[in-house]
Amino acid sequence: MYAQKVYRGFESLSLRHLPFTSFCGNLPMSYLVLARKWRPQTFAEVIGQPHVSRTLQNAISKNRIAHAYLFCGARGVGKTSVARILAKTINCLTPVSSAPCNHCSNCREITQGNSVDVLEIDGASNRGIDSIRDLRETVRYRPAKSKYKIYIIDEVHMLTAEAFNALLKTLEEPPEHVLFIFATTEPHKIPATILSRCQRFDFRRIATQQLVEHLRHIAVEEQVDLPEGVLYALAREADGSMRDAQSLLEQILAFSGEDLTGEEVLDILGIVDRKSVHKVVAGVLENDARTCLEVVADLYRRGIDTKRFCQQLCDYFRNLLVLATGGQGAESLLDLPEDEILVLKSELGKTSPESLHLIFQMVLKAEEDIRRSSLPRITLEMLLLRLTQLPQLESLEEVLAKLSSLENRLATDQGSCEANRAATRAADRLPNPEVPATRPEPAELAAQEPFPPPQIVPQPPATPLAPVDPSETVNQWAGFIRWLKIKDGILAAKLADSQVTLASDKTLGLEVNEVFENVIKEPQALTKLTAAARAFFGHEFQWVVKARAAPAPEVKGSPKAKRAKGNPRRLIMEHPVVLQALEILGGDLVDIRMLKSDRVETVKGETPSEPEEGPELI
Amino acid sequence: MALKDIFGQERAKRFLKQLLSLGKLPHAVLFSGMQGIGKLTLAREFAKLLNCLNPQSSDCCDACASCLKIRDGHHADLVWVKSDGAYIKLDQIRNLKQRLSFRPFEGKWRIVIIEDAQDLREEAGNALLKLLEEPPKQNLFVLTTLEPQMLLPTIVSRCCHVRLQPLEEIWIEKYLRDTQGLPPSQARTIATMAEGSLDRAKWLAEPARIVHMNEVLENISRLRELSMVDFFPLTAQWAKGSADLEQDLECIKLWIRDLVLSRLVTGHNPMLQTDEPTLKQARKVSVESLLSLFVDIENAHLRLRQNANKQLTLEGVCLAIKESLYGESGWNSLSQWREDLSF
Repeated sequence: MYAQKVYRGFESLSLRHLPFTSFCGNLPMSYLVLARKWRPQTFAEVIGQPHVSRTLQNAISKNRIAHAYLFCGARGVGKTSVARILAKTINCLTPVSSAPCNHCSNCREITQGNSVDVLEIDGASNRGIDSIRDLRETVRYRPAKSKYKIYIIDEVHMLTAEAFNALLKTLEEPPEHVLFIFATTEPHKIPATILSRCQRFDFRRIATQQLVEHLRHIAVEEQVDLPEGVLYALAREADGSMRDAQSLLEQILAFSGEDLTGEEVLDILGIVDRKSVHKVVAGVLENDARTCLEVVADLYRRGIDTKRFCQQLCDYFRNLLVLATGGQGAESLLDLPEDEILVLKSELGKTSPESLHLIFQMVLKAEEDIRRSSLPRITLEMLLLRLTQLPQLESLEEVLAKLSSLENRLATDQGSCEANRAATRAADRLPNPEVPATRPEPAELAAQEPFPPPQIVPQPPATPLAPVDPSETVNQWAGFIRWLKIKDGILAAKLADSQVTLASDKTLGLEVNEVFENVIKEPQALTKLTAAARAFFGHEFQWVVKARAAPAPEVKGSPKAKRAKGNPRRLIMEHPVVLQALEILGGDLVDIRMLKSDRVETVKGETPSEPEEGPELI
Repeated sequence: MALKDIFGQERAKRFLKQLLSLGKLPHAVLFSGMQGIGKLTLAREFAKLLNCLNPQSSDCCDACASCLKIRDGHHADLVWVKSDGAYIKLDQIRNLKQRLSFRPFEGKWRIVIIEDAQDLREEAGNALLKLLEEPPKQNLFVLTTLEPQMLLPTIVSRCCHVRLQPLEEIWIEKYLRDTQGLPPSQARTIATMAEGSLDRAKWLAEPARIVHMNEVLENISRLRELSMVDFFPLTAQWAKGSADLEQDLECIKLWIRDLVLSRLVTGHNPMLQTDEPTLKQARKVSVESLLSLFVDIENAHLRLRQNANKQLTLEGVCLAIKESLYGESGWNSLSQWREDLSF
């Protein structure tokens, strides 16, 4: 009974986990993709992982084989392949200097995937605790014909937490004939308790140069002649993964019968060619919108992904930035052939590091926008147009130098510039560090506007400015109000229509809009006003506040005013304020009553309609 | 229908035929490309071609039993995996695995089509990996996806990746004229706006679409002379009345693109019809502010997708247009009727 149960467990495991190659043995031999055909079968054939293969070979030759290994690394760097080679080497009947012979029955069975003692389990589809229980049942039985019973669990990161925990005891002290090999792309998903029980090997990405050499080797073996540039493009695209590189090569080989130019080959693979990127960058730096649009249209027609293009653009600007700021030896930081570096250097002359930085940031941000955009092509176009419209930036040092030279000139000219408006001086002396950072366009800097942009609150100068002649205050009043607008907008608004007259040396007559008369007269407001005037004019003033005289009399005689007199009821009914009040309050206009006629005569402007409509709406 | 009847995609078709004739069929093919350019059609025709009983000049006959069965979707060796609910689940992949452990039943090849592979749940995707790396003989996977980045990199790396191009405008135009019977000028406009997707073109070709787009444009040009009192009722009505505000924003984006291009590129052929006064006004505005207007609308679009209040978003967009294009926003118009207050 017990034996039956165990047998069942083993049976289900082996049926489920063995690769299926053996089932279809009598069909015609089907084509194997390059990645499978060229899967390394010995440690020597593994590319770019010397630290792994040497360590493992030494362990085998010194007979210090651990009971659990964990292989981590990106896709296509050789994790599964090394696991199989390790299994073969350990179980090989006639090993040659810690390498598998690949001829004995054990080696052949492992290569074909039907060895009884090497179980390759897919961790992603057997991820539950039950699968691990099945596995533990089988662990205690000795291998059928080899030295070790080897469990290779691929994609081990997909096991559930329970499954991992169920494995812990077995993994800590397995029977001496058992060896576990785990392979995963995501080691961070594996619990620490598992990690600490395994010998961990981190597989590296394969260097571009090594990829190119291997691809060349395959191309020679497959009897295809490929230009070096294409091989480089493939290797770069593969991003350190051998399988990606081989898949790409595969597609090129499929077209090998036809005569294809390098560009067409890249099109097939959807690789963005350097030429288009270069053209767009040149267009951006030379403010040539048309070229940019043409390239985008061309890319679109060829079916190249806008996102990838944007990434390449980012990459290109990054390279430019590295060259521009890296100084001596920056070339060594770039993984580029010599001629491309020359091209980059020629581009550098057209721009400044500051512009490059700004452009880079915009492209980086736009990459994300394009990812989310419903019309990626349009978004890319607009990005490029924005870039072409960018003004050339200047470096902070240059701007500062310009500012200080300006300051010097002002200092020497001060005697003759007495008549200069104090406002201009105040603005010039204000420290304004934001300008070069956020809006450093020289055009903006040189702008005639004497006032900094409103978001910057100017501090009154530490030392008072040279006092202005009191008689000048009347002429400079408008400038004062504008300055006040930045400092204290509310006060400035109250003084909007005001005028001053010089009553005496220390006293100013101030005429304000009658609405604000009382507000200004309050001592608090007056103190504020005095302080502001002291900062601006350099004098302590007393104020005589009056309501402003009636507006110009011709308004009365204007046809509009006459009409208003003629039919005030209709005017009130059509008045937008009334209409809106009706709409908001949802009332009906029942009656319009005129105020007492003497009040209409004395109070001018907007007041008559207002006190009236409130009480009349029902 | 056979491979040769598929619109466009010449490069991909040539590639597939080449693979077949060289006998270098990979075990997994990934078709990627935007919505509505024929990924699934291509996958089905490819399956027909592989299993056709009497293929003619490297294309299927479209008449044999196998072709007909695949066309009607009951061929025993055509396994069609698509999302069950929102995702493709682990159980579906386990069942697939089970099924793949047997030989193909009637055809030369068993074709497994995984539709919209980006819908694979994480577990399902990982469970597919081993199968996809070394499947049993005579099985061929065809995966389709919108974006290769939406898949696990480990899946993409195991497939022969074929990128499909957007359809050329001529094809779409021809389709609209011949199949949908649209007048040539309209067909051309829609073809340019469809961005190479046949689905999108069909959607745009619905009669209500064009009318609606014109409404949107009309609303925009009305903004020019609208006082603030009338502005809010208009946007409120618009937000309520529009079935899909995102499409409206897309239309506005296209319109701004037209304006920008007409400024920067001589002889630009506009996609949308803009009335003369608006165009004239747009010529007075700097290109820079048009471009930042575009960014504003892009952001509004994003917020709309994140479930922002429709009316507020639309008001924001319209105010931005009014401000940067017609040079007036709320404050200015307010001061205008302040003046009116004096009788």
